Amino acid sequence: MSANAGSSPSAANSATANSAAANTAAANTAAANTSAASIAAASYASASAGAASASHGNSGGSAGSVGAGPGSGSMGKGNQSARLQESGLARIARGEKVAAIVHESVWDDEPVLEVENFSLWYGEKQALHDISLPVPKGKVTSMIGPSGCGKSTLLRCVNRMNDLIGTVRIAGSMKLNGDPIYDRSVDVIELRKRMGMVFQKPNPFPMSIFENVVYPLRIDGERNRQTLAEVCEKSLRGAALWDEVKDRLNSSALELSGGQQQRLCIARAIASEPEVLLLDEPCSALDPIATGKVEDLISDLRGDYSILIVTHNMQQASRISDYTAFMYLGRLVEYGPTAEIFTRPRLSETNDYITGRFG
Amino acid sequence: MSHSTAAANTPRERRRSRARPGVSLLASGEPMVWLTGGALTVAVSMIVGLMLLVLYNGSGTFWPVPITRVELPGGGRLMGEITRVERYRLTKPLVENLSGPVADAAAAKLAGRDSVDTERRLFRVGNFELTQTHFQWASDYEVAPGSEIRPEWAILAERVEWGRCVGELGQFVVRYRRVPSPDEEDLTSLVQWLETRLPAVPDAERPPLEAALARLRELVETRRRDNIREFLAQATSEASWRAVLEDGSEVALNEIQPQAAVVELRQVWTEPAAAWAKYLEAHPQVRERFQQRKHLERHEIGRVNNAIEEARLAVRGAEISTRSASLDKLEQLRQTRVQLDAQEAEWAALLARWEVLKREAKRPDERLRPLVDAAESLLRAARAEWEQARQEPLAAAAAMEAELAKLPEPLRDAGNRLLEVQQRGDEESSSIQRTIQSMNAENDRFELRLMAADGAAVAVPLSNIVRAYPANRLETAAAVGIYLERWWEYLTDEPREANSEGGVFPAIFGTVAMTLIMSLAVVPFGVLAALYLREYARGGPIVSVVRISINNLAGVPSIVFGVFGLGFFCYLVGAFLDGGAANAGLQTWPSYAWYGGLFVLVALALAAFVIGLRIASGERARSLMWSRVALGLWLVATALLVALLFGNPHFGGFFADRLPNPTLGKGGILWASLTLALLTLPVVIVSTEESLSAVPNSMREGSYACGAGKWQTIRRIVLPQAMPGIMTGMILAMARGAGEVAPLMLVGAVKLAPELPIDSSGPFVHPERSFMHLGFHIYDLGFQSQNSEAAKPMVFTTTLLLIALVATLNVAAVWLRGRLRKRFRLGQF
Repeated sequence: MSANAGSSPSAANSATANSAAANTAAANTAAANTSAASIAAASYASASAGAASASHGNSGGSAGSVGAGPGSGSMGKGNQSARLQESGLARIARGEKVAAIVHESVWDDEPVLEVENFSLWYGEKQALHDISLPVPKGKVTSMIGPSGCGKSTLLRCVNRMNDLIGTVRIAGSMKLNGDPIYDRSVDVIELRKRMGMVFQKPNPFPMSIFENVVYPLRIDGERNRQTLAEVCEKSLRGAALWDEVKDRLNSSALELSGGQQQRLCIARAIASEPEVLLLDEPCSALDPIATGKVEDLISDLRGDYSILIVTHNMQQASRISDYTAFMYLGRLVEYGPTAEIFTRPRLSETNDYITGRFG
Repeated sequence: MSHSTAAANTPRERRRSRARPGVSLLASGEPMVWLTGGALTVAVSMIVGLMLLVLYNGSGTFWPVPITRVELPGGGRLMGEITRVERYRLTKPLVENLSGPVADAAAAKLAGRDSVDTERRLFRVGNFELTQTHFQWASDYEVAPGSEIRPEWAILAERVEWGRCVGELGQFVVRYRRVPSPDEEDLTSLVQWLETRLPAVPDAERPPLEAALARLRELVETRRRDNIREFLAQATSEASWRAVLEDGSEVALNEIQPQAAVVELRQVWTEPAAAWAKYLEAHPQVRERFQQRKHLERHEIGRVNNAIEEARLAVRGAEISTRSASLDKLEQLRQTRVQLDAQEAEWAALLARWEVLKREAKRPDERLRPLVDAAESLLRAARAEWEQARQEPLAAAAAMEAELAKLPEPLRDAGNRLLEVQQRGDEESSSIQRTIQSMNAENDRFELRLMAADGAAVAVPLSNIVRAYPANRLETAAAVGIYLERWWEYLTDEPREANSEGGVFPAIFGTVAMTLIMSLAVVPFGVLAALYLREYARGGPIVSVVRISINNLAGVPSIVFGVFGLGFFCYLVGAFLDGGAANAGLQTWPSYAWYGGLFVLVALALAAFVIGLRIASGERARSLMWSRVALGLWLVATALLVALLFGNPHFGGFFADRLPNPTLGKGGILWASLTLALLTLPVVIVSTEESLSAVPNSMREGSYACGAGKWQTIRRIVLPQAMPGIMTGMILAMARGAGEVAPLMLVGAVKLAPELPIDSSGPFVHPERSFMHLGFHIYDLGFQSQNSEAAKPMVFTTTLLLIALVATLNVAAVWLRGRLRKRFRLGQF
């Protein structure tokens, strides 16, 4: 499922086929080629009436011909063109190794988190391919890409949430402030305490607001009422929620609105002073106003916390982040300062994606 | 019509007509509404009907019904409550089977027809000791016309023995027994003693003594007469007094001869209202004394007996540990000592009587003098005989004491303690017995005399009356009072009359206690098991098999669990705890083998532990193989542990001193609770699993992301959220367990067990005791009762009570769950 590419409905079929092809690791077979071409076509072309048949093969794809009638092929619909055929995305879709473009300026800041040649498999299925990127300290780094490109998977690998799934296998390494994350001697529990994470849907615990915020301290056995109250206030202020809930700290967190709940989750995530804050599409379940508040909050947190955020919303990425990584089908495509990525990306594929012509 | 048909032939028209609303019943869904609604209605009305039936029959049981008296053709009479009315068809063959006056009446009713509708009524006649029946039918043609009345002073008395008594109020009697003065008693017994001794006196010395004895008799007689005069003087003018003479004849007070030996005075009220008023005055005190007596009998004497039994068990324990026997000898020694003590006391009493005589003789009454003078020689002779009689028991006692002294020390100490405790116990219990006797004597003074339907007099001692009321004179308020009083008795008292009367408190207690113990046992186990299945275990074929097995366990007939409980808990575990492996019929290991096994066990467990540690710390590549090895080791170690436990040659059981009487090796409330816990385990596991899986994964992930460990997440996030569901499981399990009867018959529920599993004696909690259970009580009343007609309404009442009890337990649990939910919503965890 992780390799399930294509966010537009018209591409769904071919994406499935494509991922299947990629998984069989038969990257250079004709069938895989075709399917890769077809996904590219489906993604890029504005009007896709025909269907690429399996018999078109590699060369057929390059000719840019329109496919045969309906039912002639099982691989899906799409136009093919030479330009697209040679694009990096298409090569990625074929399963070829494509070197990621990482702008040099990302190394200007000291990295809080370093990902080095990181790969991940769900069972037999490879979901992340050889990803390397630094996450600068005190900055907001966003990851964008179509659904299933592995950005959430990568995020969840940072605090090893994927350990909870039995079939996951990884290669490569990650370092948090120089300490290895994937090392046999690492205590996962202690590791997670150094990070905060916020999920797509607000998931406040069914407790009081107060207890929600101090939960990370509670599990550490902190009992001092004073300390707890201080941390609670600080975190809630940090999450810009204090003024709204200060009079009802003992009422249930479930009574809050969705946006408040999400900010509460952020407050909970920053209660333990994390070294890095992981946000997994934190606004995807929120309305525009709540989204605006959360975005403001993220901007406020910049500098105090290193933030790694996964988002679907490119405007959001451009608004709030300092650095942006564009991923596709489990590979990092381009990574650089947000301004550069959004105004003058080095790859045309990136440009296509951020301008909405693809994905 | 033809037009529209033609139009409908075009496809579009056809579709439109089909789509028109209301045309197709199925499409509109109306039939399904009726079907589903009807199913619900049928289900609900059946449940409500059952409830109403139980409620109606159960709640009417205790209402006091008027007493009706009818005359029958043969001259007999029936008097009692009418409990049931039935219609039936009187036919010629039926009439031909009858004989006597009844047949005539029936023939008259039939009046030549083949059959005729008739009615019969069931009288609860009571007076079982007279009529040998509790109930009697009377058809309407049997009742003499116009004879049906409700006697104003018909009394219904519920008795401790013999069930109910129905009769018209005759008399209320209070007796006063004459109490002889102490001197009179002493002298009377001295006269008797002298009468036995004088023949042994040489003839020459006898005449003066005979004369003195005659004088003594006279003296006694004077004393008695004075006493009687005083006694009679207390009779006042109130009501009528009667005197009872020695020969049992009763005379009016003014007809008494001066010499008459009056033993008793009776005060008799014959006027019903006055008699009833007196009865009401006296009954509470009598009843109070009766309860006190019962308390003394059960608790005080029970306490004494317990102490003796404990000392006896201590001796038995010492016997087992020293491998020698002493109990029989101790018992003989005790009896000998009792005998010696009695002789001692007799002699002392004799001396005291002589003192009385000497006092009398000091007054100017010379005629007694010869007796006093002869006292010394008489006593000396008697003393010689007395000592002669004592020699043998004394020697026997000395021999036994010497033997006792030779016993091993612990046994000797225990034996001496037993003798001591027994002596003290005998003294205590005889003093208690005296109190009880005096109470009984006091209570026996009061008596209610009723006239049964056929005119026979029934004397009912007041202490035998639980409750009596003039059924036909009751006003509504009084009737309600009796109704409530009966309910109170039902809820708080013990059963009487083979469970068909009295209360069911022990059964209520047993049911509640058993259900609570069961919940305590099943909920933690079930929740832990479900937690492992849902939170820790990785899905796979084994987990699926386990889950399916648990679900199947819920479908096993409950009696099977009963058999298992009896075989496993009672006869294996219980017997093992009672008297060790041998008592449970198990093979013990030889000592060396056992210690060897222990060593192997420790080695296995250590190895498994070390492997487990190494897996936990890494060695990923080989962990699968090694974890299998560790699992295998653990399994072997567990099996070995069980084998060692049950084959232990050094364990002789906790209750070996009570053998061959089983203590834990029989049915009891603990084993019953555990059996039911097993029965309800699937319910708890399944519902807990459901509620655990209903906790969203995002909650768990949120908790893990905060750095919580697995157990922390379960304890702080998962369990609180699953708690209402777990409580639901508990409620279901409790409802199932409280209503279960079949397995209980095998593992501890009994017909009558007035001793509760928790009381004020010994260790206070007696999990080994049998208990009463409401469900079993219903079965017992319905199918095992001697007096099934009287038990029938009690079946309904008990059913009502059981339903109410289960409902109460459920409501309590639901309330608790609601509170939990609320707390949890308010987040005050």
